[in-house]
Amino acid sequence: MTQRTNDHLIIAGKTFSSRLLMGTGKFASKQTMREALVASGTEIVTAALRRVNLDQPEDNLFNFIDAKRYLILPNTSGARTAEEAVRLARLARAAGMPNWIKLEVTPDPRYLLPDGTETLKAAEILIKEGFVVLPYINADPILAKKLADLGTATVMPLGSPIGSNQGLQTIEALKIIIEQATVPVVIDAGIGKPSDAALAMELGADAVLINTAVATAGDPVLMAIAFSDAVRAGRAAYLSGLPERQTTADASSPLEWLSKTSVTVK
Amino acid sequence: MVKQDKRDRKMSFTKTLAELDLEQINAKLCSTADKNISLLCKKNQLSYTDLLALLNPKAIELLAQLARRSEQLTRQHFGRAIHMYAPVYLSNECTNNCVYCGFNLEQAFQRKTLSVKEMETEFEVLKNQGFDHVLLLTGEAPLKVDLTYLESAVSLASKFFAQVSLEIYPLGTEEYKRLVNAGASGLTIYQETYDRAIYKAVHLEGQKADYEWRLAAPERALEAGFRKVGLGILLGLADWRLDAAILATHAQYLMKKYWQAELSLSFPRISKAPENFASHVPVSEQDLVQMVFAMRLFLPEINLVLSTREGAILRDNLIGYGITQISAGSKTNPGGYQELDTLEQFAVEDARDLTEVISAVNNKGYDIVLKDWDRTFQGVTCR
Repeated sequence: MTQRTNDHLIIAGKTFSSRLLMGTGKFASKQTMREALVASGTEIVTAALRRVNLDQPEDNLFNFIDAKRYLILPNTSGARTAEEAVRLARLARAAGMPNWIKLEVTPDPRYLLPDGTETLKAAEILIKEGFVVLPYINADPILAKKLADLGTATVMPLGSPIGSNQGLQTIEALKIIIEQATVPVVIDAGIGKPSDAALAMELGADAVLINTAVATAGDPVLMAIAFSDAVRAGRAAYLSGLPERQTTADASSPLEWLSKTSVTVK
Repeated sequence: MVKQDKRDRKMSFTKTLAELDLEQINAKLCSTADKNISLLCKKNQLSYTDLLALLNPKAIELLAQLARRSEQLTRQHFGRAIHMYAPVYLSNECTNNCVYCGFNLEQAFQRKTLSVKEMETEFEVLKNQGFDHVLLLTGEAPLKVDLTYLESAVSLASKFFAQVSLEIYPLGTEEYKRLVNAGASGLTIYQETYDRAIYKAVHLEGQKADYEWRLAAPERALEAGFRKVGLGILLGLADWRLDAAILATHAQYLMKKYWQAELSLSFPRISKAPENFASHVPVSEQDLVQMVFAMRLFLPEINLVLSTREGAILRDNLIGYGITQISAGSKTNPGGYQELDTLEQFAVEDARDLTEVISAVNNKGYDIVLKDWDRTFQGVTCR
């Protein structure tokens, strides 16, 4: 598929050609993960700090992600409060990791839904400390605006709960977030199928983040390719200007009667 | 000694349990009417009645279908990752008389409680093997293994491991808080059986004979700030179907009341009953497997644990089919990893070491997670 060469994703001043961000959890092996990342064409890869041995970061997950090839985006998954998320981010930076942070505060271990209040609190602290903050949020347009006002690099609203593969259940709120956005909107969580990703991009999302759908696919590499194609197709459709969907058939003009009247409208 | 204040007594699953219509539950568990198991394998959220149908003997006919659904849900919620931990027995001192247990007070053997130096050696051995999550276990002998001892064990273990959990005798909320502050993040406490009559009959002496005190322990632990709580039933004491059905309500109760808690369930099985344990109700591997699938379908987001009490064949075959946490290379005697000659609580059925188990899990297409959290993220530092 050809792609407009000048269409780039820009986050916090950095330019990316791929609009597909990838997660690294839930894979059968580090090798499969690495192959899927390559196949996806992604340039931004997120990984859970809680799985990393911070005393020896080279000894862990990050060792399997080529830092020259990808921007590594450490995430605070597992944090249940702003305080914990901030502590995770600081520990990561102290261990020499990038100062980009995917902020996740998920106090509920069942659905892993993000806590808006705590996310806002943590974002404020981390931005002041010089972090580039990419917050994972519920599809809440007001929260998205507040975070962007604080200076987050993106907003990352969910389509449906993490790992649920339910697609864009929050579509109406996502449309509002996209419409009002002043920072890139990355649809995180819940995207189960390439068609969901294509839909997100058609709506005008700047990027999508995929993990479970690729990691748990029968063939993760093939699924990564499918997502990559879907993201590009959706983006191309968005840029081409999608025709509005009509709800009723519209055969004739509502002003047709005018031409039939004997009175000439002046 | 453990303080049992009024508040500790009051908050409890006891009320919910008292309101359960056990006769009706039992009737559904035994009913011979046909169950539409195929339909249950397609439903997104199962009702309690659905769970009872899955625990019913009739569900065995469609066990393969349950297995596939269980695999699907586990993969969706947990991915291809299996969490690993190692148990560390600190002491086999015990003042309880539980007829099924190798540590009960009537067993005449030299008791052992690890010294600080011995604990350190145990931790070193395990850390060098690659473990980063340990479960510290004791019997119930509060005079010999008191809170101060437990606190120092947790503090010491925290210097070695990212996560320290405990499986100890029930304590009060304030005591639990001290262990959380020392660095413990998880607490495992099994009710063993929810059947009061059988509970009484198998717990002859000691603090453990107090059913209610144990029943409310998970709540006290969660009030105290433990992030993870493990519940369980000991298979072989009572009717496993009814116990599993009540265990599920216990988990649901805790998930609603303590919505931030991460829960896990275990189903240790008594495979070889001690000589003086005449009332052993054997539970087959097929029963165990049915229960694992039923629990996974009913509670898709909950962790299910399988220890080395089970053999390699069963363990390997359940990887990906509901189980999300396992142990490996376990020793069930105090000082076992440094090869002290002490009595073990039970004989492990899967004697493979960590490397062997990791390779078996990898061969199944799953990855092992050795580290998943760090108590330093909570602001607890080593002392």
